[in-house]
Amino acid sequence: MHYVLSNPEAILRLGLEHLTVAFGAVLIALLVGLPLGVAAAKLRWLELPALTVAGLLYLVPSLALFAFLIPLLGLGVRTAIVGLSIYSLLVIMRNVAIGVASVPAPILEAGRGIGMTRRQLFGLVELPLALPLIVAGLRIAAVMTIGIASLAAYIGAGGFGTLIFRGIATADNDLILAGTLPTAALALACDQLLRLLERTVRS
Amino acid sequence: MTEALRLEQVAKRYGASTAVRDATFSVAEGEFCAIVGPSGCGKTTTLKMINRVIEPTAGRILVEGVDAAAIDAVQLRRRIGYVIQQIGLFPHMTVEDNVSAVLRITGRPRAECRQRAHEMLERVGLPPGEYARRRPAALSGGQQQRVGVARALAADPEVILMDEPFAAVDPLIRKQLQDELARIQRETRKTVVFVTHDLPEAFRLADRIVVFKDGAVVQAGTPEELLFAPATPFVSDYLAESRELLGLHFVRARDFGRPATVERPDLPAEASLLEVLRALAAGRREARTIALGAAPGGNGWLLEPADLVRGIAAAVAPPG
Ligand SMILES: Nc1ncnc2c1ncn2[C@@H]1O[C@H](COP(=O)(O)OP(=O)(O)OP(=O)(O)O)[C@@H](O)[C@H]1O
Ligand SMILES: [Mg+2]
Repeated sequence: MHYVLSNPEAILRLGLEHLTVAFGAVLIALLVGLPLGVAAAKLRWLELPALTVAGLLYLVPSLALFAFLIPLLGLGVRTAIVGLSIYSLLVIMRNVAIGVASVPAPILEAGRGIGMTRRQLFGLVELPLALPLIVAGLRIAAVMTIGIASLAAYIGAGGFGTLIFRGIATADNDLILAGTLPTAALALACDQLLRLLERTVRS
Repeated sequence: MTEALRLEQVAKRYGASTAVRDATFSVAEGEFCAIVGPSGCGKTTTLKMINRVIEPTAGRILVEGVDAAAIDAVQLRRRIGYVIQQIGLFPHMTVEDNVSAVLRITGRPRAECRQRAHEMLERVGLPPGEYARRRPAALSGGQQQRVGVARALAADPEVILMDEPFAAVDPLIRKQLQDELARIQRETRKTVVFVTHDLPEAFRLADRIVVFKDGAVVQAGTPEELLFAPATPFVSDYLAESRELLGLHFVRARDFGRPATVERPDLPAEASLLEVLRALAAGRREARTIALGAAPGGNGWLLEPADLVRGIAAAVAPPG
């Protein structure tokens, strides 16, 4: 704790780096996972392959994934963001797919029956009804990503992982803690915030 | 009378099985048309083909004289009100937004939508002050069904389709909803096509009844025609044996007739409406007027076709 208390501005800077990586990764996962999840819910044939690919990617160890990406994107934030987004993708895509697919048939029929276009049906009925599940997926993805974003430091993307790796290298437990505790706090705060959002969209 | 709807040999097949074989009937403008028939005979499928929620595999449907297949499906549906059996209210929208959804999707201004929604809620007996801002989950089944009706009316459609809208509500509320629907239809003169299992409901509401059997129309006629000129034995049996009409066993037919001197009574003076129906089904009648009495030439009662329809309409279907 000594390091945290005596280096507030370093903690703040690392926190911002950490958040940038995690937020960027989840954002990319959302941008890719939302349309893919919707497509998986709409096109039956796509569901299994899409979820299988996402599931397999999920199983690749993150360090190995970084190793693959470094030749393409170089060391640094970009690789970290893209690499980590792979892990959120599965969760977000699956929740979007389940959310969209679980809208009750009579409600869809009513929407179609009163003359909604496909787009209106999606925007006014399917998406809002799937939203609680989508936000829940987002929350799980965000919390998970904040945790594994510590690894980003290993490839030069900064974040609280920097302290952890430095602590490991110098056998400095205080430094390891100084990286770990803020990471956990960040994850918890994010969890609470998104829980709140979840509750708002549910009511 | 102009025709609001005409179905010509409409059919729907799913692979090898046939849901509707031959739906042929027409509905005049402002008419209340009930579709009845045993479960699985194709009533719902027929209804959904009218607003193209289901596309027919054969035949032609004319809406106001125009082939529905030639009209953009979305535009067609916006001209046709639709109440489905499962109600299908949007759970994430307020009652007001549910009702005005049909207007908002056509891009009408918010204020107009709101005002129209409130008018419609008023019309179906849900004071907007109390109900407009609620979610459907905060309403009883009967109230939800009223919102469904309000939604179907909101865009002022030419035709309204209803699929067993009151089947899930208990008999007392059902009667109330039927009375309100009858009043609304009288006031607005909308063309209504109404699918139901419940024969008393059909007799209470409909100007014309279309009887389906195994995916085809066996008869389309006024309630009187169905009773006194059934097209096939199936129609008369369906009327006489319908579970919903068993309650007529306890209703005296003469209560709906007028006292008269009866030359040749068809049935005893104390005959129930069910007995009258069964006598009609058995073909034991000569004239359209049914005579009830104890002895030839004595005092009795005469029952006109309209009286019988009134009597059947008054029956309360047993619950469930
Ligand atoms: N999507 C479908 N695929 C295959 N068969 C279907 C489909 N929809 C309906 N059917 C069949 O078509 C027939 C008519 O169905 P429909 O729902 O129109 O009957 P219904 O008269 O409305 O019955 P009920 O009174 O029970 O509501 C039934 O035998 C049903 O099993
Ligand atoms: Mg049906």
